[in-house]
Amino acid sequence: MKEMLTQAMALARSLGADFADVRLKDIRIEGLRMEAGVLVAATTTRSCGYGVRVYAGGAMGFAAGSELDKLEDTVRAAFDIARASLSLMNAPAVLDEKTAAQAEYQTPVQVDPFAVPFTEKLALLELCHHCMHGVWEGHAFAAPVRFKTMGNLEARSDEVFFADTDGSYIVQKFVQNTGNIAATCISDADAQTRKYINVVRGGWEAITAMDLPQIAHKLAQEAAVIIEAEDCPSGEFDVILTPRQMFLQIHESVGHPTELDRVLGSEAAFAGRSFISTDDYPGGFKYGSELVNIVADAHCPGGLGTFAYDDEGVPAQNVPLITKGQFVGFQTSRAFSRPVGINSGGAGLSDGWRNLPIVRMTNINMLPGDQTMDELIAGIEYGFIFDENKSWSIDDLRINFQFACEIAHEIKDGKRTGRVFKNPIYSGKTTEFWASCDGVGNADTWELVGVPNCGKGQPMQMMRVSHGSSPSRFRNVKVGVQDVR
Amino acid sequence: MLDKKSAAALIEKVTAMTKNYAQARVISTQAGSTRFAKSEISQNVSVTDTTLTLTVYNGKKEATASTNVLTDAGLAQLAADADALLAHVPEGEYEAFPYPQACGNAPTGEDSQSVATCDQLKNSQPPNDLRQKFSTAERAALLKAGVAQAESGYSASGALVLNEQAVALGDNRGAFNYAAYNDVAFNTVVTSDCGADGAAEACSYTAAPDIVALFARAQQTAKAARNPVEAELGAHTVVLSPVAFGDLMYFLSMTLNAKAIDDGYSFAAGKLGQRVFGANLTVHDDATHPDLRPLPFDFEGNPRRPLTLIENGVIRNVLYDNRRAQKHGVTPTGHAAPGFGGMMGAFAANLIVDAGSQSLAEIIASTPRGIYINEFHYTNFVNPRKLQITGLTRNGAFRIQDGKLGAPISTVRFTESLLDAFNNITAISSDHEKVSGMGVTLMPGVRIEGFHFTSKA
Repeated sequence: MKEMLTQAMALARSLGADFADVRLKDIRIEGLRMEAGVLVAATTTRSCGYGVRVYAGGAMGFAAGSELDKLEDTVRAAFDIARASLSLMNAPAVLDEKTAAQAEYQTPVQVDPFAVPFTEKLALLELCHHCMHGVWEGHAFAAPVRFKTMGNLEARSDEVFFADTDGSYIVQKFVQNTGNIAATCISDADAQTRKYINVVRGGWEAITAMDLPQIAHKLAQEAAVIIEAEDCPSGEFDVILTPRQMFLQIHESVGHPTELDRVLGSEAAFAGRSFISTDDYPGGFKYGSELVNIVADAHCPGGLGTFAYDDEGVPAQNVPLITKGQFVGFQTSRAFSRPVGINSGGAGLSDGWRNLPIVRMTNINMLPGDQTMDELIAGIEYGFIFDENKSWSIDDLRINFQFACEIAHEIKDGKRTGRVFKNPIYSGKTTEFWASCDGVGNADTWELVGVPNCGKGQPMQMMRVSHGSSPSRFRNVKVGVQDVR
Repeated sequence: MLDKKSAAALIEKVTAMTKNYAQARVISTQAGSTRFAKSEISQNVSVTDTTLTLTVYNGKKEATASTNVLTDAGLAQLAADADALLAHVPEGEYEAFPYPQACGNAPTGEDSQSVATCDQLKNSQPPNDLRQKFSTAERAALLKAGVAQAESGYSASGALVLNEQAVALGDNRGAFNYAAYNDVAFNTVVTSDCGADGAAEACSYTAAPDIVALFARAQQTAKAARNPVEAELGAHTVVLSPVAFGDLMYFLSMTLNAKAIDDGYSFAAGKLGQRVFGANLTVHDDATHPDLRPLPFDFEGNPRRPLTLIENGVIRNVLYDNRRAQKHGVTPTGHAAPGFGGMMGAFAANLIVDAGSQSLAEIIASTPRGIYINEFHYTNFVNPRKLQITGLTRNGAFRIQDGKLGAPISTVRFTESLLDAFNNITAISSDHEKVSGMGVTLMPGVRIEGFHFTSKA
């Protein structure tokens, strides 16, 4: 492999490339999906191919293919595309410099998920299904309700071979697991789901650690309650977001707006831009309260954005984005770092061999605070705990967001009342919202949530990223959408 | 890209490698995409790939393997993986419908009058010159001419894409279907230094879009969008462009399928035959329309039947893939999605909303007071059971005062139930535009009363 990729890079040089790199990725996925206790899909997929990026005369071309014996043709195609790009170039592209690397890395794995017997995986999904139905059979529903369960397990490995004209050769293997279950209660007038999905880098031990049967029990209980619950009241309330909602709050209102390619307008026509400008760096501005500390940490154990080198051969880093509420840094790649006078933060990633690296989130984590969950709750006179994302939307500049969650737990006089509501919706503006954060859970409450479907780029790339956070308290949050039925 | 003969040979070879009943699907793609930002090419890419998916069946057991490693060894591994999985899976509920032998063959018991004929459904995309007109060099030249439309203080971003695709389905009982087509997709946003935006887009399976004219349109909108004022929150009369209306229609179409109903997430549950929208709304799905994607069969090999989904506000039909059709004892409608195990159900890739009598310009001229919306951004379900959607305006929204477009408005969020909005359509334009959605759709512009803006950006 090394010889083949090295020769391809030599060919790029001989054609006249200023710089070139190649990523060969061999991706294998095994999945099971069960619906209503019936296995509906048992699948195995393999996608293997390479993408070649060539810079020539300051312009870039990229070509990708899946036939190994056509790699040289693909290098030539990338070079020709780069030359064609010269006709509409305002200024030569400048890549951040890096050191050539020879390295190998592998996700730490205790139990190979591909070696776990099919029957064991099937039995786990069946157990979750029976756990849910066990709850529902013992529940007294006020009106007829039918049920739907879903379970999905997926193991994925990405073998990545990287070479460039600087002399780098890096081999990495990533292994990840998905655990995904959902409990749905359906009445004549409504359907309510409680779900759990997490995607974690590691071996089968990551699935075992999730304890899906126990989660299935809880989800079924809560689905049974919210199908008959009232809609969450509207108004301004103090709210605690659990890590299973915080992950999306961080993703949409911190992760995307701090991507430097968005800030510079590269995504203007599709994913959108950012309210942050390059003028905000390095001076910074008040993004949130002093309790808000957020980093892009490519070293985080279990994270989908954890690696040794990104897809441009840049070493993994831990980049502060917000420190004590102050904006302090962007997420950057080799192509998007020089405009603000910094080096790549190691966030140049592609979702597979077909696509070129663009600025992507690694693990965008909010650091834990010092409060227990009980202490967070004790600080609320009347409000809610919002759990598990259900709907999301945010504007082009990442200012105005509106999210819906699956369940709201009522808090009164500093304690949970035990009452729950369905369909909680909240909205706000990014910096005002983060400024209202006055409580962050401690390290014991911190949880990492994997997001397997972050869409960005044209052609669309579906990236896998993670977000760690603790339950966090926000004051005077706008809850509900009045006047709309 | 795989030609018909090669696709047939590939499917014959791989399905012969298993003793089980086997269905194979080949999707072969050659795509060239030139992306631009700040009026220069920013990403210029080409991708070639062919993926083969093999599903093997034994009664009500099924297993699927997929690969793009199409060497003899890769194919042998694929068949072995599928057979090995099949040996372990328990019996499910679905017993495979064999692939139809050729396009247009009605499944058993089907009323042949309601099935499109082979002539209608054959892969009849007329020869076009899209490949020549949108080669890598031509794309760069067109974009250079286009961004020149941007005036001083404005810059253009977007993408121009030539996509060539072949889809082949076959089994080890001799069935084989093949279709190949190409298309061009373009979108641009022209942005001013002061933050005003305008956008335009086009997609075509036939004639080449006028890229330079589209740039000029986006520039014109951006220029008009300078110095926006805030819109008041609450209920408004809105006039939606075909692109904006198509965005909403996409969410309606996602709920009009049997899987969504079975899973409890469709508003349409129990409402077949009932009037749920205004009498002026009629929605079809029609793959035979010459302007839409010329893929004559769905991803389960069934002919794509023209189907009326909403007729004068009444739900007439919902979409069925094989799995849901077998469960409910009906005929699949020819809208199966490409996912495994029927996970995605069926989807309408060729939506057409019946046109009205006024042009979009006449609708605006007959609106005393309202808001014109060029595009929405980040639309999403809030509650699919209520067809409640949220999203924001983007790339050009303007007040309408006494029938004329006036001051631009800044970004504003809407939250609305389409059950209300599509009962409050008071005008539908006579002019359609091709709009990208799950596939390509034909959408008019509309006027809707009482549309709720719920927060400001």
